[in-house]
Amino acid sequence: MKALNALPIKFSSDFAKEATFYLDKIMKWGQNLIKWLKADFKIEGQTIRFIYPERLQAWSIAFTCKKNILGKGHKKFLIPVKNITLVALPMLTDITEKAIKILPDKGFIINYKSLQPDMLYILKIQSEIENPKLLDIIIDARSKLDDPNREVRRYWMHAQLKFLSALEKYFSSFKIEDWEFKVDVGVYEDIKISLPKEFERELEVILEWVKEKDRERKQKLSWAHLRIIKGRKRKDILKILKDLQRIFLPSNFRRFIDVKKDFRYHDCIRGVDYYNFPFPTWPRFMTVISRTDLTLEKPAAVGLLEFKRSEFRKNVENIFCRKKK
Amino acid sequence: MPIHVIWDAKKKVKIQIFFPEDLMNLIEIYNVKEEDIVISKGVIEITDFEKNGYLGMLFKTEVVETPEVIRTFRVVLIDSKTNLKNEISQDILFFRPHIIVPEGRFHKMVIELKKSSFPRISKRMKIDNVGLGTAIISLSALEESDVKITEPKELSEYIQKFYNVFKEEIDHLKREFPQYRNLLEEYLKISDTLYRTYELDEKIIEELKKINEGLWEAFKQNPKFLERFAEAFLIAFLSSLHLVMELQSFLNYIKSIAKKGIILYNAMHTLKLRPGLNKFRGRIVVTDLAFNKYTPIDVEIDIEVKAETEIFVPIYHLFEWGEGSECLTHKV
Repeated sequence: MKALNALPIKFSSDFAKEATFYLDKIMKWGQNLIKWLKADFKIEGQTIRFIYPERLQAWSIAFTCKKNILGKGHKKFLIPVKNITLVALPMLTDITEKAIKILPDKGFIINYKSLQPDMLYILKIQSEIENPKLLDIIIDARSKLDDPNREVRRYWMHAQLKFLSALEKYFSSFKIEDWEFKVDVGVYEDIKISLPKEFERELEVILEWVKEKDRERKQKLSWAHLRIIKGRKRKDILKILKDLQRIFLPSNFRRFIDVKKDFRYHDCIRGVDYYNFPFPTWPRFMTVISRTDLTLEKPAAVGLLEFKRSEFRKNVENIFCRKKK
Repeated sequence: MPIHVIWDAKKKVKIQIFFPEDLMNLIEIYNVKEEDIVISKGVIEITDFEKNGYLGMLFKTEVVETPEVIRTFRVVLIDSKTNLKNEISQDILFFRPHIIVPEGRFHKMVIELKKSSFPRISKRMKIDNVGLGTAIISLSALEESDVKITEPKELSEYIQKFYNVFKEEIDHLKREFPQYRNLLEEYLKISDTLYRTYELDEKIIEELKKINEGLWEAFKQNPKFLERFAEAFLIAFLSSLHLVMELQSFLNYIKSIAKKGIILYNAMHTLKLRPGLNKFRGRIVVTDLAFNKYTPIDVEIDIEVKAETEIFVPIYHLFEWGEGSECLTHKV
């Protein structure tokens, strides 16, 4: 490299080097499994997927039975597994119950009596990835707020593989499934905008009233309070606050979110902002979780998360039954 | 800032990237060997790829000097066979908050409290955010100041209760997620400092940034941990709540959102002022949502109080928010 760069640059080979140790282990795990299987079965094909949220490696192995094993008991595979399924093609009949027994310690048994000649089977095995950080070594993922002045607030999401050729050496088919992406969507400004000014004043007056000991002043505050709520349709302030809290329930907030392009919406939760301590009660952000998949053929994904601010504001305003101006 | 380019893998191409070198630095490049890249001033040229059809890059962006600036980022694909060029360009908006004192200084403030009215304040401290980014500001008092900032009395019971439950919840989390024990302990340590002072300073911002990064990393590793962490806050909130506090906490929330782009960190904390002249000497500490540090603003202000007894004035009352960028007004 001929470089005039202010900072050192990391290349794919650097990341591949970091990942090699763990990829070797995964390969060894898979090879052991296939070696065991090969003794009694004919392997027709194999694929691997990584399932992100659960940090699992998921192998799918297609096989047929060697004639000499049929009807002859079972075979034990002593490798740790999380989930296992066995299906028979072409109808994709799930025969896990009949043919597989998961052992209490580790491993499983395939009961050969349940298998038939000339049938193609797919064994799906999931096991934990030893180093959960491995997928972060393989993928770079980031989000960025677009122009904050837009009426629909847009956040770009971006995920890409850091190296391909090293992965290709290990796996002919490779997929990272359900890569999860969290974006903090700011809601505080829209809450503030949507609140009637007099509501803020009302809260101040109520709290002043509670603190106040002077009878004359307390009476003045009571009158002030009545004046403020006179024009409002809904009088019960606690119900209003409850309804406001309800807007942050995932099922409600979901309506204001659109996830486009290569990503799909998964879930949202009330955001946690650390500098807000000890008042984290009213969220300034909602954390929206979106998912995408990456493969060697599609090594990068771009998503667009849109927060429909005006709809959100309209909903907050409706809580106060405020008429639009 | 991540960038990627995908093209037809059957075509052999050279790629040139033109980027604003004063604002962006290449820090990672994917699917490219070291010998196949040349970087000169603001231009990256890549002649070959480990697997044809994909290029990935990661740039580090610098904090911009002007509050907002648009720069163009260009990618040129040159077909190695035909030399035909295919160009894609994208404008990128770089922005940050920019807090200013529009009048250059703060004026002497007069606070008048008559028996049956709210305090009347003249010449509040005028500040403004003329940048597009969100600023988090916090007012703190210097040691030599004869006015101190105190915790709002009416909130102390709530804060105490909240914090006690929160600590218990964090202890549960430590047992449930022993791999994040150190991180949670660090978080509790900084929370403890904030609980006692409720003021931001450079050191705290630095630590918050570190812990924030650590927590996000952990949330990324373990979604269950994020769920439980958020739950811990909610449990502490619900167990410390009663009627008045529900109103108070919401008032605090809306008062802390000063105007578009400004979050006032310690909005409900109060200045304890005695009748007559009070000399407040303090500092407005500024950070943003990514915990970047900005030059603090020194505050030297004389506050004259016309009242019979000492008074407590919440910090949000002391400010007047300027009109520099768009204000928080209703736009429907």
